Amino acid sequence: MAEILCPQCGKPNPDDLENCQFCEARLQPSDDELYIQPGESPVRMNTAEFEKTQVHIDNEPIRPGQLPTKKNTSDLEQVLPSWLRAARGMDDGEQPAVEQGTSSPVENPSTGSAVEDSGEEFPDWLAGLDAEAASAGGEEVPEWLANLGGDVDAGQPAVDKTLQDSGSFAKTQVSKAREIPVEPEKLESDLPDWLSGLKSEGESFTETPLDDGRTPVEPEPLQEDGGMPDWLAGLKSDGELFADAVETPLGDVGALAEAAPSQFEVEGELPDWLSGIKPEEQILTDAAETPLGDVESLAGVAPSQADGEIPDWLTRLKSEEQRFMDDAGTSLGVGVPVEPEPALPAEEVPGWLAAMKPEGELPSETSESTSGDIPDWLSGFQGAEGTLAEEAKGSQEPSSQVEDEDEVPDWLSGAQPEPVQDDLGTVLEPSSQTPSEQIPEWLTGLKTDDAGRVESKPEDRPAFEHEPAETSPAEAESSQALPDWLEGIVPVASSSGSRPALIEAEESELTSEQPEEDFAMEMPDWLSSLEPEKKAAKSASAFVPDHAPAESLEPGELPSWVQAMRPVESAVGDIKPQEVDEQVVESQGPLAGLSGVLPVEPGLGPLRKPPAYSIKLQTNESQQRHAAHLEQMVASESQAGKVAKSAGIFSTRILRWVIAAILLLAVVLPTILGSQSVPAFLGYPSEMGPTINQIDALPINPPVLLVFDYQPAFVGEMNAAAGPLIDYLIITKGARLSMVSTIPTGPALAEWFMKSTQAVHGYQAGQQYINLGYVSGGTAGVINFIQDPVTATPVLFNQQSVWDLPPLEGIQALSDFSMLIIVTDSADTGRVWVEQTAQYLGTNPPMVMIVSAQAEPMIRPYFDSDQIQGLVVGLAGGKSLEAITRPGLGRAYWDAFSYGLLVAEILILVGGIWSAISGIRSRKIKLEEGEA
Amino acid sequence: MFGNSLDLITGILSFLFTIMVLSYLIGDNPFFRIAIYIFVGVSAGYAASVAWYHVLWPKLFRPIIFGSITERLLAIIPLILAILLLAKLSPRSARLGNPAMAFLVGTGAAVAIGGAVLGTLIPQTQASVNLFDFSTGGGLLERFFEGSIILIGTVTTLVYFHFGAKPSPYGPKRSRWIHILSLVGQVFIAFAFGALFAGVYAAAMTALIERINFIWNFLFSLF
Repeated sequence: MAEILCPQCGKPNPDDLENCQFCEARLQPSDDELYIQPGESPVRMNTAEFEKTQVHIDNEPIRPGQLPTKKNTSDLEQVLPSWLRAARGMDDGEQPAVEQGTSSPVENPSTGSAVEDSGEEFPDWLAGLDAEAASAGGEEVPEWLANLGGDVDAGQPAVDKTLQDSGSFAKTQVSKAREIPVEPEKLESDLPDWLSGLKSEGESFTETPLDDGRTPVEPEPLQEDGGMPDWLAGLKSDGELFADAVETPLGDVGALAEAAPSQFEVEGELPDWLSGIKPEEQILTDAAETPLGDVESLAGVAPSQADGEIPDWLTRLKSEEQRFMDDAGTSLGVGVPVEPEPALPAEEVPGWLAAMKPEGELPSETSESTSGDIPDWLSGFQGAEGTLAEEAKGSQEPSSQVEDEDEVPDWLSGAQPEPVQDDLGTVLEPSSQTPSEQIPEWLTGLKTDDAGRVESKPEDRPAFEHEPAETSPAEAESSQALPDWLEGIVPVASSSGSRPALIEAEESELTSEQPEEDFAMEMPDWLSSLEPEKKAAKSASAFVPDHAPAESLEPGELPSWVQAMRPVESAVGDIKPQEVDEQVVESQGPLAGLSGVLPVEPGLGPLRKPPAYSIKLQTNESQQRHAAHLEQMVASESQAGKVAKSAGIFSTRILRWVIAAILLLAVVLPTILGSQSVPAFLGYPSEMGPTINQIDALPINPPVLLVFDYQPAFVGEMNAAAGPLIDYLIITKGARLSMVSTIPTGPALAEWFMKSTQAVHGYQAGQQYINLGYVSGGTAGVINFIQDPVTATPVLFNQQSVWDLPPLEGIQALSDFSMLIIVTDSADTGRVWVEQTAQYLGTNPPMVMIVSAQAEPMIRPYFDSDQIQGLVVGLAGGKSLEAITRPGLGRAYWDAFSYGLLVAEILILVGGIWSAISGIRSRKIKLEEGEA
Repeated sequence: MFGNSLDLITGILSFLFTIMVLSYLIGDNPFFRIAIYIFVGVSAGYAASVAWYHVLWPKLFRPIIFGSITERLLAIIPLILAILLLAKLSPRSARLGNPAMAFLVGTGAAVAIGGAVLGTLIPQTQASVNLFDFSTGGGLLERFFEGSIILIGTVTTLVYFHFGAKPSPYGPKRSRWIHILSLVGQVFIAFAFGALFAGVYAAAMTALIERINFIWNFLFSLF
C-alpha cells in the first residue's frame, strides 16, 4: 500500500487518507488548488491574474528569443500569486536561514565575497538571488525562490509541505548565501506548494550524493491516487528521471515537464501553468524559434511530489545551480568550480525543466508535457533561459535583450544573473551540455559569489526585491550570463517613473540563437518580460528604469515627482540661449549698461524716479473746517458742560398762584360786593332773535320737550342760560314741560332746574311738567325715544304711567311736541340729537338748543345751517334773554363773569407778549452764542 | 336759605366739597382726593340706582316676572345678552360676551355713521353750498364774503390734514401749493381752537362764579 508523506509533519500516511492521521493536514490536493504540494492539495489560482499583465505578443506564448514586453512592475504586483505576495511579506521580517548547501563557494557578483557553500542542495543560482539582495542592502529574496532547494538538502526530512510560500525558498538561498543557518522546518514551511513538492520529489529521487555529503532522499514511487497532487504524481512517476536529473546541472526540465502533465492528462488536474508545458521536443523546437520559448511547456510540468519529498528536478536544480555557480566562479577566477551534479536522463527530466535548460543543453528526450497551460512566469523562464543561453554562448556581454524588454519584471530582471562566463555559458548551453550537466538556463544565468551564493543581478531578482543592487562593474560583468528563462525576461520600463518592482534588465535580448525551443512553456508575462542584464553599468542603476526601445516602451505616465526629477537639459534644451547680439542692453535703472537683463514686462512701466509726495496733508478749507469742528467736539467731550439751571417747580407754582389769585379777585370781589357796574349788552346775540321768534310762534300751552343732557358741573351756567328761556316760555305760552335725559344724572338736574329757576311759576310735577327719567342706550336710546317715546319711557321710576298725565296729554310721538329744547353742555350730545331728529322729524317740531359756551363753536354750524331753529349760548345768552324777562342769575354773575373774562384776556395778552419777547431774546442769545 | 335741616346739611356738604376741590390750587392734596373720590362714588351709586329703577327693573325683570308671555319672550333675549355681557368681567369667559359686544358695537356704529352722514355731512355741505346761492336773499357781498370765508377755511383745513409727500433729497416734502394752503388752514384751525378755548374758559368761569357765589351766600347765611 502506497504511502503519502504529510506535507505538514512529514510523516507517512496511507494514500487513501485525505488528512494526515497525525496532524490532520490535508494529504491530497483538491482539484481547485493550483499549487499542489506533495501530499497536499494544490492551490487553485485564478489564471486571470496572470493575464493581467499585458502580453504584447497578442497573448501568444512567448517564444524563446522573443523580446519580452516591458511591464510596469507595479502592475505586476497584482499578477503575483497570493502565495508569492505572502512570501514577500514574510520575507520582510524573516531572515532567511541559510541551509548548509553543497555548493562550493562562489563569488557573489554583488558583494564580491565568496559565499561558503553550505553544502545544501540549494541551487546556487537561487542562492545568488539573496546574495545580491543582501549586498544591495538586504534586498529580500522571495522565499519561494530561496527555498527552492532548501528542502532538498540531505539530512532533512522529506518535506511534504506544499510550496505555498515560494519566498521561503528564495530565503533559503539567501540565507545560504549569507551563511545563515536555516531551519529546515522553516524552509519547508515557507516553500510554496509546488516548490516544496518539487523539493520533496527531488529529495526522493535524488540518488547522487550531494556535495555537502547529504544524500538525497529517494523519492517514493508516485501514486496515481495517492496523497499527492496529480501533477506532482506525474512527476513522481518519473522519479528515475528526477534522480538522474539531480546529477545533471538542472535535470531534464522537459522530462520533468512530461511527468506532471502525464499525470494531469489522466486526471485532468493539470494547472494551467503546468499544463502549458510542452514536450521536450517541442520545447526545444520552440526555443529555437522564439527568444523566450514556450514557457507553458516549461510550466506544464511541475515536479510531482512523492510522499512529500523534494522532486528530483528541483534537487537537480539545486545541484546544478551549485554547479553552475561554481563554474561561474571558476570562470571568473574566484570560487571553486562546482561540479555540476549529474543530470537526470532525458526521459526523466520534466519537459518544463528541460525546456528551461540553455540552448544546446536541452536533453534530447524531454518529458512529454502538455503544451497547454503554462504559467506565464514559467514561460518567462523559458525565454529567459534562452537568453541566458545565448549570453553564455556568446560573450561576457549580457545576453541580448529580449524582444519584449519591457516585460521583464524587475524582480526577475534583478534576479537575472549577468551573463555567465564561458564556463557558465557552456554550462548553460543546452546543446553542449551533457545530460548530467543540463541545468536550466534560468538557473545558469544566476551567478554565485565566492561563498557559493547565487549571484544575481539586481534586475534578476524576484519581484519582491525592491532594493537596488549595488553591484560593482566587475560583478555586473560577471553576472551577465543569465539563464535562458531569464534572458527572455526584459526589465519593464516603469512608465510612471517609480522604481519598478522588478529590476529591469538592461539589454536582455533574446536572440534567435537562444535555445528558446527548449523552453517551450508558457511563462508568466511578468517573467517573460524579464530581460537579462547586458551591461554591467546597468547594474549600478539596476533599479532605475531603463529606457527601453521606443517601440517597445509603453507611453507611461510619469508621476509628478518623477517628472520634476527629469533632467533639466530636456527642458532647457528647447530654449535656445539668446545670442549675445540679441541681448538687450539695459539703458536705465540700476542695471544700466548690463546686457542680458530681463526686459521690463508690460505693465510695470519704465523705471523712473518715484514721485515725491509732500509730507504735509493736503486739505481744503472745508476739510479743515470740519476737522476743526471735530476736534472741538472731541475736546468738549472731556470738558464739563454747563448745566442749565432748570426752572424750579417753585416758580411755576407761584405763577399759578398769582394767576389764580388774580382771577379769584376778579370773580370774588364782584360777587361779594354784588357789583353790577358792568353794563349790559348794547345789542343782542344774533341767535336770540330767531329763538324768541320760535317761542312766539308756539301755541298756547304747547307741549315742550326738554332734554337735560349736561353734567352737574355745568349746572350754574346751564341754569343761567336755560332759566330765562324756560321762564319766557312759561310766562308767554304756559307750556307743558316734559323732561327727559340720556344721562343718569339728567333727571336729577331737571328737578333741580325746576326747583331753583322755575319755582316762581309754581309748576308741579305731574301737572305742569313731567320728568320722564333716564333714557338708556346713548344714541340708540335717542333713536328709540324719537321713534317711539311711549315705549321708550312707559312708566316713571315709581312705575307710574306717565303718558296719560296732563303734561303728556295727546302725546304719542315725538312729533306731537311743539318744540324740542335740548339743554346740553356737550357738542356731541347736541350733535346726536340734531342728527337723529333731523333724520326722522325734519324741522317739525322746531328744535332749540341751549348749550354751554364750550359747545357753541360745534353747535353753531347747525344753527347756521337751519338744522336747529334757536340757540342760546351760555351765560351771555341767558343774560340777553333776561332783558325781555326778568333779571336772574345772569345779572348776578355778569359782573364777575365780565371781570373774569377781562382778567383772562389781559393775562393772555400779557402772557403772549411775554412769550414773544422771551422767544425773541432767546433766539438772539442763541445767535449771539452761535456767532461767538 | 336753609329751610330745613336737610338743606343745611346739603349746604354744608356742598361748601366743604367746594372748598376741598378748590384746594387743588395749592396742589394735589388729600382733601381734593377725598372730594374726588366721593364725587365718583356718589355718581356711580346714583347712576346704578337710576339704571336699576329706570332700566333694569321696568324693562327687564318686571316683564319677566310680572309680564305676559309676549313680554317675557321679548325680555329673554336682552336678558341672555346681558348675562353674556357680564362674562366680559373674566378673561377666561370674555369670549362669551363677544356676541353681545358685537351687537352693541355694530348698532352704535350703524347709528353713528348714519347720523353723521345724513345729519351732519350732507346738510353741512349743502349749507356751505347754499351760501353762494344769492337767490335766497340777504346781502350779496356779505353772503359772498361769508361763503368764501367758509369755503376757504374748509378747504384749507382739509388740505392741512393732507399728509401725502414726495421724496426729496432733504426728506419727504409736500408740494408748494399744498404747503401754502395748509398754512392758511392752520390759521382757520387756530381760530377754531381759540374759539373752543374761549368757550371752555367762559364755561369754567361761569362755574367758578356760581360756586363762589354759593360759598358766599352760604357763609353769609351762616353769619
